[in-house]
Amino acid sequence: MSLNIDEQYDKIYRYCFLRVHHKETAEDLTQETFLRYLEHPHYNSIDKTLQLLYTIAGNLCTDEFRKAKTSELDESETSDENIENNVLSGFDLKQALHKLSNEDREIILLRYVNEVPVNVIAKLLNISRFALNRRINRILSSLREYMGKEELI
Amino acid sequence: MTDKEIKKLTEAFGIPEPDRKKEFSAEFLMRSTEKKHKPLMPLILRFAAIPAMLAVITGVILLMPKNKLNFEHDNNNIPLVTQTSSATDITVTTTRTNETVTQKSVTTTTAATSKNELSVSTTASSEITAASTTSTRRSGRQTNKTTTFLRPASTLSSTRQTTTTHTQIAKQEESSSSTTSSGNNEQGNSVERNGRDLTVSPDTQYDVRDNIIRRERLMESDSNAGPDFAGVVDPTPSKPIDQNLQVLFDNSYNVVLAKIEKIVYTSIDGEILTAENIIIERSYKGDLAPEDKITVYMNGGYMPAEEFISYYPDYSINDSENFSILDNSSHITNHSEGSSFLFFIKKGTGNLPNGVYRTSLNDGNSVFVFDNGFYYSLGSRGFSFTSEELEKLY
Repeated sequence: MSLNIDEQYDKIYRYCFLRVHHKETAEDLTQETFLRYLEHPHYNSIDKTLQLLYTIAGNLCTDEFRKAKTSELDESETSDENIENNVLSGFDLKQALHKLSNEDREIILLRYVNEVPVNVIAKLLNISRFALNRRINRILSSLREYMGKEELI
Repeated sequence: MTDKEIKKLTEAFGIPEPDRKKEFSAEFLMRSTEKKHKPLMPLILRFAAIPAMLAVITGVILLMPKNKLNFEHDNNNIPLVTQTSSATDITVTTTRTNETVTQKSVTTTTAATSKNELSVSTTASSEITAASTTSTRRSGRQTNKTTTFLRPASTLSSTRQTTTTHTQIAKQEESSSSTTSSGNNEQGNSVERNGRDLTVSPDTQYDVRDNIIRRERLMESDSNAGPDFAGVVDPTPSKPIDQNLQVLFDNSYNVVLAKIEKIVYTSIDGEILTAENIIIERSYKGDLAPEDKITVYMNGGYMPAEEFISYYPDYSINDSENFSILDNSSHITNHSEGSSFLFFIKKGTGNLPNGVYRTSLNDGNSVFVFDNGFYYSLGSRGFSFTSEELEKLY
């Protein structure tokens, strides 16, 4: 199955940025992901293709995180400043997202921004679909609690 | 989710736009085109290996002594083959076999109507393994049937005699073609079919109890559960029907019209699943052929409540041993043994057993029932198409 690079580039980039918090690095990792994808056999199934892409991206981000741990801490401080600005401007959702753990934020990004199918995310996290759905519901409840709202948007 | 909601959420994450997307996209497309054209040699080798293997296998089959290669004829067939001229003998043999089975599973045999008695007698052993499963599995859902069909021994014997008569007729009519399959009866293998038996029996099989709790009810009472993000559970982009069919067809390894032979409720790692043995009637896509028998897994089904709680201890159910949990997310209750459906499936992956298939989608929109010229999705009646539209993709 042929890959729609225009659609998937942004999604993989967002995923990498969420992991490494650095724009240039995230783009490098995104491009590396697609180049490595070319070295694998192509699948007919979109689910398998997505799973392969996110697995490669995740592994690259993990390697990058281990290599550049110090610089990542600096970037996260920058993110905190942005969060403060956003709080001042009344952007509660961003603050609430920041309170989540890294893995929970990742799940929200994959599920609702990148629109990755539930079964692909479940396989990436190595949990069942039912367990993933329950976890997503818990994350959403936490977000509502942080924001003190019924709906998040 | 709407585009506006996605945009707000993306902004909330604070992710800047990438700079080098255009340039990389062009290069990626070029490289992927090159890659498509490159691997000629591996393709050649792959295709050359197939006839070589076939030649080896053919040579082995032809050159080896015949008596060692009687794959398709079992020793058990011999008595039956030699006795084809004597219909009475066959009848006796068949009846005895039936008797030992039916003592254990009366309901199955006697549930057969007069029209189906032929099939009961000739396929008795194929139901041997299924019979006990069927009776225990259906104990909850079909209690009435079980009690209805229990009869005293005298009635049973008369029933068996009737069965015997029909068997006799069947054997006389099909003496030329059924010798092999009648032997297979005793082994419980495929009967009167030339297709491949690719089924895989699940390790875990559940009965269905009289008392059912729907999983959605449990989720509603769960304090951790709540409305999904922006009220959307699993956003499916709305597309025209023909595009949905095309997408579904493209994303499936196999598209088959098949009859459900057996339904088994099971689970893997706490996930409620149903495994169905289906017999292919027609194949629209993929490598399955008519008469092949496969096992298809799909989301949803029944699980004993106490086992459900063991996986999800957040829930508590009083008197759980008397309840089954029903997960009908794939509209599994619309499936019935003996009915034919159109299945869009792919090879099973992850923690599913090797050799099984699974539905292409998880929400019941991979299984269609034919009604009045249209195929309707069991998940959503609004998703339908005609046979002609399906034939166009074939």
